[in-house]
Amino acid sequence: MTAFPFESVLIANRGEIAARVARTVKALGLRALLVAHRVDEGSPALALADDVRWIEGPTPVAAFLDIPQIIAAARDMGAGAIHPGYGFLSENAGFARAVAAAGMIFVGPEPDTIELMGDKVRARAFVERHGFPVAPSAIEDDDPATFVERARALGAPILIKPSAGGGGKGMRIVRDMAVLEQEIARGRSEGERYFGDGRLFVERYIERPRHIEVQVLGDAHGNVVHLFERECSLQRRFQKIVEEAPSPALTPQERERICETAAGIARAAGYRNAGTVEFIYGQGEFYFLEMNTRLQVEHPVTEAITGIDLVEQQLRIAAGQPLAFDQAAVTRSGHAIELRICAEDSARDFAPTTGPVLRLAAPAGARFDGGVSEGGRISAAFDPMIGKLIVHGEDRAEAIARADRALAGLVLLGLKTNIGYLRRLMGDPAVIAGDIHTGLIGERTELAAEPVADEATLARLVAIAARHVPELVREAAEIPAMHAAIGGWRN
Amino acid sequence: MPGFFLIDGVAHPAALAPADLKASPPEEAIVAKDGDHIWVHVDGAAHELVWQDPITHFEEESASGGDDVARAPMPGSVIQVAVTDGDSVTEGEIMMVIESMKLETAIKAPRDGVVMTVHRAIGQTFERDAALITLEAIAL
Repeated sequence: MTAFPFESVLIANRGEIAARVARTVKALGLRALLVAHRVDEGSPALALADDVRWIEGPTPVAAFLDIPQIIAAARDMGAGAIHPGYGFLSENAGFARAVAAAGMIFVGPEPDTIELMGDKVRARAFVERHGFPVAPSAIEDDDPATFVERARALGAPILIKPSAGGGGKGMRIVRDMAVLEQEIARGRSEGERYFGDGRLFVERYIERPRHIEVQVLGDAHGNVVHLFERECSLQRRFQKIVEEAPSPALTPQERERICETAAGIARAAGYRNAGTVEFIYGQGEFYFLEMNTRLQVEHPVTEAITGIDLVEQQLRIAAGQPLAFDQAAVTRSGHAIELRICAEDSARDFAPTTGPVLRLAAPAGARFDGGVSEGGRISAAFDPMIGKLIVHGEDRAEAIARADRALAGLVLLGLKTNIGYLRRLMGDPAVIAGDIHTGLIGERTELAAEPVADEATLARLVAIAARHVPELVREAAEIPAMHAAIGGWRN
Repeated sequence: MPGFFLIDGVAHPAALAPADLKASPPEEAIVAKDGDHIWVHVDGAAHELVWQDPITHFEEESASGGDDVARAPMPGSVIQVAVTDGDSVTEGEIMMVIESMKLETAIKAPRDGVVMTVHRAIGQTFERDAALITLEAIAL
């Protein structure tokens, strides 16, 4: 198959996603080109790449945001297309335009689509205008004089958010409308303090919300399909750590509605390439949250249940090929779970950790997408994700059992990780029951601390480790045979 | 002379008998070493043991109750320093603010005292457990 108008693809990313994209690029008979920073020397992506250029910056992150430097490296290697991965420049319309201006193909949507969905207020208005569900809301700017009145009309509970906000700062939940005006005043002063902007908006708040998102694909010929949903409600600090497909919450009718809504939004936007429409779901209702115009970290669970390689689809769409399947041909089987393996300490409020990767061995029976190799190091330069474990079972219970076995079998030594925490989380009764919401991890503080090892385990650990201390080994070897014969070393 | 392994901050005496050396290695443990840090993966879980020879062990044990030094809870960099050498601080007072992966953390005084040394200036980086601020020891 030589239907590609390019022979090589530059991957403008690092870590596990750079390696993951490189694998598919090479499987399609294309050359995988890479830009890399010296801190990642020895990483899996570098081992896979056919050619590489080193990039630099005031910080390693800055290097991956340096558009002119990346374009220059791509030209130098003769790249025909650029895949941005996720994060960094993946949702930067300016980058997409610069790639096109340099005569290369951007593996992602049109710059105008990136811009539309990147502006949360515009995106929400677009979705609402096309008749899709958004959370009932009141925006102060629309008519400041009637703001309180309009907020009250939404009915409790509501969520007050600073217009200029982000990251949960200044957000207030109002469950009793008697305190609405007080809370608006507080929200305004917090908005002023954090963002220098006191303007607010309020929206209907869903108690114990679930985060459900739908994978979509659109080609250059107007075809759009969805690849079913993923549930990503297990989050710490507003960041996903466990994702699954399908969602355990949806009835078949709800699944059909939410997936068709996502496809409809993509169709309305003339969406081209892979994208994800995120929804907030609760009490049988769902509302549009935002659309991510790129590949998601958690895309492998969709690949596991549909058997479709999403990076291959991205490259084919970017090459102008029509989708080779219609909606009816997209089927799913079984249940998949992804676990994000992070360098962090759950007992210290998930604070990032650093250290050498002395040993790394992926378990059998799981897909492991890793971003670091044995002998590498996790530094504070990038985010703390080391890799992802993906398991697939016939049903959810089997997938959970496989997740536990995979976590237990993943050997990663040299720094503190969240592997033990993930095992405790996957053993939680609410998680096993599928009764999850975005606040669950925050409520389960008892899972955070590492349980203290029992005496027998401690004794085993000491006995095992003692063989690796040269002083102890030397002493044991030097004890005269006679002493050894009468009972060995005594304290 | 035997020594100790620190596991989760608790010291466990360690020794090796000649018979242990001759016996086949116990079960399917996977072990990795990084200086005095020995990592063991056994029964589906990873553990960190820190080797201390007896001299180091007793030195550290006698080096005060440990509340003279405010240490870094995570690797990062200093973004704010609120005290200088000789300042009096009260327990819980914020002495420094550090940042790690966009997360800010206040370094508070572990007790009432007088600042002896500020080990890191604004912009400087450090690893976890690095000493950030040392208070003057209390005469017993």
